[in-house]
Amino acid sequence: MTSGAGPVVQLKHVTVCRSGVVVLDDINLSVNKADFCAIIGPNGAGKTTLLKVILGLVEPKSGEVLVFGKPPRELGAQKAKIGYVPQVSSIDLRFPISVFETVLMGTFARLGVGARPRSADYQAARAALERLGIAELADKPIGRLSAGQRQRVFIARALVNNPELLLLDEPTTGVDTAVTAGFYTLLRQLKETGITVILVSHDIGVVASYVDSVACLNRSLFAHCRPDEVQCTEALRAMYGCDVAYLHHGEAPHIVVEEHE
Amino acid sequence: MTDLVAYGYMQRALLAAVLIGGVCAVIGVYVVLRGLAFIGAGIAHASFGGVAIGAALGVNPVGAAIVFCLLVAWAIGYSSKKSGVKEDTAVGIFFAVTMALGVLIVGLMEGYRVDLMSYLFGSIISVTWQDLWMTVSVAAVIAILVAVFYKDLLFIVFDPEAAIVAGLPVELLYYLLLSMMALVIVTAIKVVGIVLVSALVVIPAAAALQLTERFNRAMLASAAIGVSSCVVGLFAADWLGVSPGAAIVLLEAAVFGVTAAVSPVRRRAL
Repeated sequence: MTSGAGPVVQLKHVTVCRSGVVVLDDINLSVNKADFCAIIGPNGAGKTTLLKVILGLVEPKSGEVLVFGKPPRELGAQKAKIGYVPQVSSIDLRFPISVFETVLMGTFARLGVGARPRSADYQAARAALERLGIAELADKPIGRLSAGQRQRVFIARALVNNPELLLLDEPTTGVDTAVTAGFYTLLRQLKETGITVILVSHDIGVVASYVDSVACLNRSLFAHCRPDEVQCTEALRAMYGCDVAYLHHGEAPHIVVEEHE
Repeated sequence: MTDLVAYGYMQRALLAAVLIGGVCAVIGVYVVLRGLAFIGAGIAHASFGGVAIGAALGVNPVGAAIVFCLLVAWAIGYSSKKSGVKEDTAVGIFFAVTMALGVLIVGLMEGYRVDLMSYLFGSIISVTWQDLWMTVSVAAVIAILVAVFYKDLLFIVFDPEAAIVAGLPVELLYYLLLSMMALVIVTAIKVVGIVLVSALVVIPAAAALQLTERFNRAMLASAAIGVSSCVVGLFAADWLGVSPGAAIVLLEAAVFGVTAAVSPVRRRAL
């Protein structure tokens, strides 16, 4: 499925500056196929920027970004293999659009400018709604959903093209804990089907019990390792500048910590 | 009232009102949802500079205004994206500079009797066959562009980042939207004038968005409100002996007031 055998996402010495200020400093990150990776860090750590670098929305000052083995801007038609779930706060919830129309937008990536969606695209949108168990919400305006329902809508949109890579920006913001658990289970299931999942979050504790690896970010990447190992590294303290609640993830087998410094 | 339609000038005015009321309202839905209303006002005022340049060069003032406004629209878009200048600051600068340019040029042209009032406040009754032909062409171009790029413009207005990720030429589509605004606004100046034209773009869309939570229905409702306000406003102005431009804008404002008061969208949100 994935082009080549290399990692799905690879960042080599990526540095990003904004108005002269370094927001990402020499980031090295490698995410393999069917990995479920969380990028965690405090507010302003550059998490969203890192995601945008992978998406090709932000051009790094130096370093190399490879997605499916190519720079994100040279992906062309392969862009349809990336599913992106933006931060809810970036969406105008009063926008006059229904759940179904929102999900249908996911198909525009392969349609091209000026082309109209065809019956196959409508079917794909309907299938994505069913996959996420929100088919009955199809005609509702997006402003009339609960936070948990809305999150499923944007995941459905990201899944319409059967992506190989799913990127989520703070997907659990404003969602209550019970719904969040169900949500991570859903992402876990997607990962089991072979989708590479990368999510950005400040929600360390909950994330850790579901993901395969955690990348701790605060301008630099402090560690990229199995979640159960983060607790014993200096990473969290270095990242947050103080002691924080450590992560727990019992059963996972121990593997070598991949330090990037 | 039916007698009025027998007059040639009234037929032309009516046709112009229907076409302009319609296209302004259709574009207006994208403009309102993307928050481009102030850019619309800026483009409208820039057209004064364009009209003056056209008059100075001895070419069709409206044609000159179209070219000039396209350039200004792109310049506003470019300067707000590429230089650190905020969009409303860019508009604020272009707005005044282009107006000043117009005033300067008109002042320098001795003996030139451009009917400034008709550009500032519109004169739909004096629509010529040439004006009408231009209006029909612009309306046709806009209708085709909206039909072709309907879903793409919707995507960039709703979620520009996801649109970039999906591989859409978002910047190009944004400039297309600005260009459509410039075309529509310059054409509409004949009806309500530079000062009032942004109302034709903004108010019907704002009213329609009070009534429905569906984009396609908002567009239809906006067009219906725009067309009917222009037609009714035109007849009312003739009957009352007042300025058609002012009558149309005030009528649209009244429609907006009613939709906001009865709005199912707003009531459900409360």
